[in-house]
Amino acid sequence: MAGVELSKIRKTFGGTTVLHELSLSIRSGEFVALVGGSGCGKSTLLRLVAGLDEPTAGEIKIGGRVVNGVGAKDRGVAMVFQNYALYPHMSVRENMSFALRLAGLPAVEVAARTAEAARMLRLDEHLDKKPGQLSGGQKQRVAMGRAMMRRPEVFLFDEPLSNLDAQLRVQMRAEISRLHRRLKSTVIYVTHDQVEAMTLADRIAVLRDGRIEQVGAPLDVYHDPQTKFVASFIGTPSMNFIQAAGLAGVNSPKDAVDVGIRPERIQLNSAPGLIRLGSGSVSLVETLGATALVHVALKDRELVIATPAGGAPALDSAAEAWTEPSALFFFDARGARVS
Amino acid sequence: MDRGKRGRAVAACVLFLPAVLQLFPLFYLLCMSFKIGGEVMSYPPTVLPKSLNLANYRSALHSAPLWRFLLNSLFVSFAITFLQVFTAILAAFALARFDFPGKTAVFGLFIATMLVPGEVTIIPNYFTLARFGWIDSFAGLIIPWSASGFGVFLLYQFFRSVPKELEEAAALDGASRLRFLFQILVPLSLPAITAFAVYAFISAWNQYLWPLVVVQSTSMQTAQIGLGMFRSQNESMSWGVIMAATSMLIAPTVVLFVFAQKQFVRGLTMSGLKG
Amino acid sequence: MKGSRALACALLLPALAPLLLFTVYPALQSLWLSFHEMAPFSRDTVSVGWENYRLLWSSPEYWHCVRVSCLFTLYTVIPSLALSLGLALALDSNPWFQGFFRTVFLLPVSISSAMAAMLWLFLYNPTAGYLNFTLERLGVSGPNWLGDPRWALVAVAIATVWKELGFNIIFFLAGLSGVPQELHEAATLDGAGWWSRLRHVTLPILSPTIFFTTVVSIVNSFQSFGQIHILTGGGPAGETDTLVYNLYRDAFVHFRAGYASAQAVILFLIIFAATAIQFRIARSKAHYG
Repeated sequence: MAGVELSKIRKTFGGTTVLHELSLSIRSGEFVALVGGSGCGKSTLLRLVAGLDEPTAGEIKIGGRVVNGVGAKDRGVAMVFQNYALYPHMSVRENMSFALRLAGLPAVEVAARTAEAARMLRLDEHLDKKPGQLSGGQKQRVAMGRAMMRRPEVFLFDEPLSNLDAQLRVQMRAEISRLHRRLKSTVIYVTHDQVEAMTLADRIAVLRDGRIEQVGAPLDVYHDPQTKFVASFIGTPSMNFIQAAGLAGVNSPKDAVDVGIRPERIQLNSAPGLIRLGSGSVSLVETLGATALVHVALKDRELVIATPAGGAPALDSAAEAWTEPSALFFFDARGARVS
Repeated sequence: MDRGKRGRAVAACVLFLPAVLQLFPLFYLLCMSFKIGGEVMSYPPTVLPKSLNLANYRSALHSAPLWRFLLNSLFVSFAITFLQVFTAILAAFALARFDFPGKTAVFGLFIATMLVPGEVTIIPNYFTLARFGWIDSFAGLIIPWSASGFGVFLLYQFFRSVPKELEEAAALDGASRLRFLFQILVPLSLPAITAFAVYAFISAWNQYLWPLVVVQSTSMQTAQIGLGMFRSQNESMSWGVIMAATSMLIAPTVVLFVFAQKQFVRGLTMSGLKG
Repeated sequence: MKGSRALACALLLPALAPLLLFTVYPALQSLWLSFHEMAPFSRDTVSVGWENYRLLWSSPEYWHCVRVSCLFTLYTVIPSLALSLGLALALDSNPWFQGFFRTVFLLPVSISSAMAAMLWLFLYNPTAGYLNFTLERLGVSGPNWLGDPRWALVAVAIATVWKELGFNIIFFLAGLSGVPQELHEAATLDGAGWWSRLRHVTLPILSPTIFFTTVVSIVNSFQSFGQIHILTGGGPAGETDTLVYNLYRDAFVHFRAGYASAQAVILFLIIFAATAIQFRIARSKAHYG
């Protein structure tokens, strides 16, 4: 297996710069998720690693070798596409073995590897079907099988689960996780879904407007967001923000403009040592089962509070929001974290 | 359910009369080809022949080298079809999947060639071919028609609709661009390619003015010209024989069309020409 | 994905070379010739400037041909579009013998216009033709189709519609297959009957196809040649003398190459304008695609 080293990558299309001097180092065997909203450059970055595009400036190393200018097929990478990109006129078997046949491997070897991948992905009985006859989840597994067949140094995933329904997505998430543990390969995984990133990745890189906002282990990013954007992007439901000026009884740092509080850290009852965030009436209660999301309308904004479902207040009742001082994140006018 | 059935019955009835009208001229032609002597011009005119007499076919084949004409036409039409399909595949691939300067201009040029009235090109092309020494040769019949702007346009539309991820997946799988074209894009585009091939074959088979100008010797005549020649040489010949000859010369395209029309419709449907 | 430019050129060349040599070059030569006049039976040319165009502009015969071409377009395009749209709708909603009906309607497309014209020549025959015989049995006295100046253009138009109908049907069937079934179902749930589904769902979605087919039909009708050549030869009394037919006669019968070339250029401009409009509108309606 091989690590991937990106240094000072810049990519421009026409006059627009999509990636700004971006650097990222991925260890061998590591699972890194690139997350961000649409247009943040995460897919572009993946395509640069794959060799489907060339960077305008900067260097890409795979396994210590500079691969700028090296063709996609010679980089030792495999990619799973969002829409699977299976060849519609070929059977599952032909789809999976296409690369190996092109590489001129002996038929016995090709057959053995196909059988192995099919067994691993539980596709044995579908090998002679065409992609059109498969369900979404099966197509997804074929796409992964095709990628596995070449025993690549690096796996690239481009929003692989976004075309699946919610239940299947959870299943496939587990499947990808299992495969990664088993193959111990390096993975770069692009997604806009931060839950996927949190659950799968060893490290998350949050991208915004062609720059990396923060890189770190999922829980580190969650507990210690460096910018307001990262704080709001990671975590569901997303973080509440109120103005620092309106908060009484707290020693706000000098430059603090906004204060962020995660919904699960807000309480509806007062207790010693808590800070009062404000009061208002309950405008909406969403019951998710064990927990409930309570929306409380303050004067100028709404707070979302996650509470155990049993303790949720009634609609339109008055409510007060409280939290511990340690749950507060302060951000300056430019969105950077201050403390 | 009942209403649906009634609707379908109405549709079938609506279709019936136009279908009869549309089919009648061809049916009439076929019937005429079996009529002998005065039966063709009899009054009142009849539709059905008295018997399925093949005499007209025999005398048609005897009085002119129709077989030779047919073989010439088949060879020329297949060659033109093959060349047009092949050149259109390559050019459409370049236009749909490559970036190069002047692409819009080249594309516009292909479109513009569809608009030039055929009559305009006949005389200059005759002189060009005379310079090449291709008059009265298969090359002269085939080479000027070896590319088609319409074909390039049609396949371009189709190639563009194939997701680009397929080509990227193929590149990662180690396929060169030409291998992607011939192993993935062409098999995927077979409906459109078949549709265009049928169109090209029918157009080539039905060419009239150009073979008339280029062909001089009898042995090089194509079916269409052969029929005209056949008619003028046999003024006295009965209409029945002419109709028999016509039937034989229409048959290849009609048969081809009956078998290929489903593909033809499907190919055009999938080429982005839909609404 | 970036490819090598050399490969792109190599791919384009086999199609580009013959088209440049055998279509673009003759077209440019026609343009050049349209500003010249060629002495009959020789290849000497004299530059005459815009003279050929001036002659055309002031020629009553040419304006007559413009009128005939426009009438011919009117007689062929409107009935052909109306019929083919109706038949395509019926075909689309009729599951019985669909393949058979479709084949029947498309069949004449496969026949050359020369052969089709031969067929109609016989059907139109005033004495032995089956058409007038049938009309007579219905109590109508049929005209001398191809010999009567009032009917000749109509007769040619009927033969043309018969042959071209299938071509339009193909396009409409293709367009209809692009109408999503859910839209029909949604409209049915909204209480729309057959007629209002047609008006408010099918036709709007089909409108780019209708437009495309209209333009293609207009272009084709301006280029029609074979059937006129065989059925009427431009007659009687010049009533079927279209722009293309006039061009053909000036080029190949009267050997006035420059004059004919000027006509070719004008014809090309007319067809080009029709196509340019089609492209412009097709692009603005791209959201239907």
